[in-house]
Amino acid sequence: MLDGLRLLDLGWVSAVRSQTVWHAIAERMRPSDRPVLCLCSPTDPYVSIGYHRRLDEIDLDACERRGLPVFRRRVGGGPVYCDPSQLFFQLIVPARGWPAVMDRAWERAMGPAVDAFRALGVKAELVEGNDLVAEGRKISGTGAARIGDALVFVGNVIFEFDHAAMADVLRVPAGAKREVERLMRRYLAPVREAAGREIDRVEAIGEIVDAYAAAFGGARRSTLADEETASARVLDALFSSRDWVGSDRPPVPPRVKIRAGVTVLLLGSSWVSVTDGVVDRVALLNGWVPAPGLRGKLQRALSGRPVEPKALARAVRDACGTWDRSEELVNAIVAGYRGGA
Amino acid sequence: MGEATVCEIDRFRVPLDRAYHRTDHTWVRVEGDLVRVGLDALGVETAGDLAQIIMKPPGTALEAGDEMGSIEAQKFVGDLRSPVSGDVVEVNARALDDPRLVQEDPYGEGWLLILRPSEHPADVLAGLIAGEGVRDWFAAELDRYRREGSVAG
Repeated sequence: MLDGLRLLDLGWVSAVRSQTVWHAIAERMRPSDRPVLCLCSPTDPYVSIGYHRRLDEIDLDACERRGLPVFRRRVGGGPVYCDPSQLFFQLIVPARGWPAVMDRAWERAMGPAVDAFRALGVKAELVEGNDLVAEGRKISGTGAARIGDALVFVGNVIFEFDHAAMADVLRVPAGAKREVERLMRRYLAPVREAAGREIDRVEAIGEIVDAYAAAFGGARRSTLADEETASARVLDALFSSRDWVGSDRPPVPPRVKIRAGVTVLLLGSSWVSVTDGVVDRVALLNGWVPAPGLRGKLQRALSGRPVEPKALARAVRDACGTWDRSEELVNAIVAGYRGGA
Repeated sequence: MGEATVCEIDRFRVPLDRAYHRTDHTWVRVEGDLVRVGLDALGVETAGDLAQIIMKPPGTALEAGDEMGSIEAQKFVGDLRSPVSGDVVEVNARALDDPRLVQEDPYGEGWLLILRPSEHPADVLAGLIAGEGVRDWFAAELDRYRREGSVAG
């Protein structure tokens, strides 16, 4: 039987609190508690890095130049730029009774978000488990975690997005930053663009609350409990601490995922962008240039080719004949894309 | 590991030379005065495509139920809880570098860590399920997940 949600519409909170508050709610959740839908936006911009990701994926100089603090969240995914023009929503549920397989878990948690976007006029769908997209463009950043006895699923509604800032805070070669920005403009849609009309915060909140209330048997407005606020204060300090933010992590494959199927692969200072299984743009430098004069020819030959070993090998052979790094380049593109599509 | 020590439950392999945590789906195998720990096939199945794994470093003292590490799949971070108490002696660096190893060979090359148990190795298995009981337990768990629609039939 559904007992309804506890609704926490927190409005505007500090940058760090926009992360720590829902971690605190999860930490304090008991198995018998009602699910919580939490809504908030940060008063100031910042960068958030996923629990398993390395701090050296972030351009800390760019962050400093832009005055952006960096916080490490407990949920998954890569580095993301967050600012006041985003509305964060979090579904926090007791872990017991929730589907154990991740596809099902995401489907149940984000199904109402899909409904809410659709009610706003966005042709939203959930693809590859956790990506919220509409007509090929990503419309929400998602992540999830088990924290204590709770599961947390997070997403956002993007009213405006600073693509340049997002690309700038990534520690990738300058050319790759421009490519990341170009692809984000193309494949990441603020809700206004996805819906084809202006949508304000009040309307977005209304639809999200209605959709989750419908799925969970109602929603009752609530406030943070004292112990939740106390936990959030403790986490404010932790999430800002050098030790937590800089925690040692294993290397991650060198690539930037824009949305499912759209990736910029990093090969040292060179890069290759791939869109839905096809090589988009290529910038080869240094060791990846077979011979003087062949750079442009090889780049053009690879563009538009499917990310398949035979097709790419043929493109390399056609462009520059026999080359001792041909197989290495093909393998790097194929493995990089398949591992992160 | 000989074939005789493995039972097949539906499409899942379940070695009988080790003990299992009933709900966390980790396994423990005693190896002299140490124990090796990993994820079982159902734990791997439900996690999905593993993207990252981190484990507590050697020297960390763990109580049974403590977080021994975490995994990430589809942007979901899940904690891994230690099935026994002891000190971390070794972490499988290969599995951390390539989490697919855990998916492809969870009972072999995809082990997670080695602990020096705080009790006698034979005693640490108390509370875990081992021997012939494994077959019924695993079948019941598989059935439970299927009823939830969590594992394909």
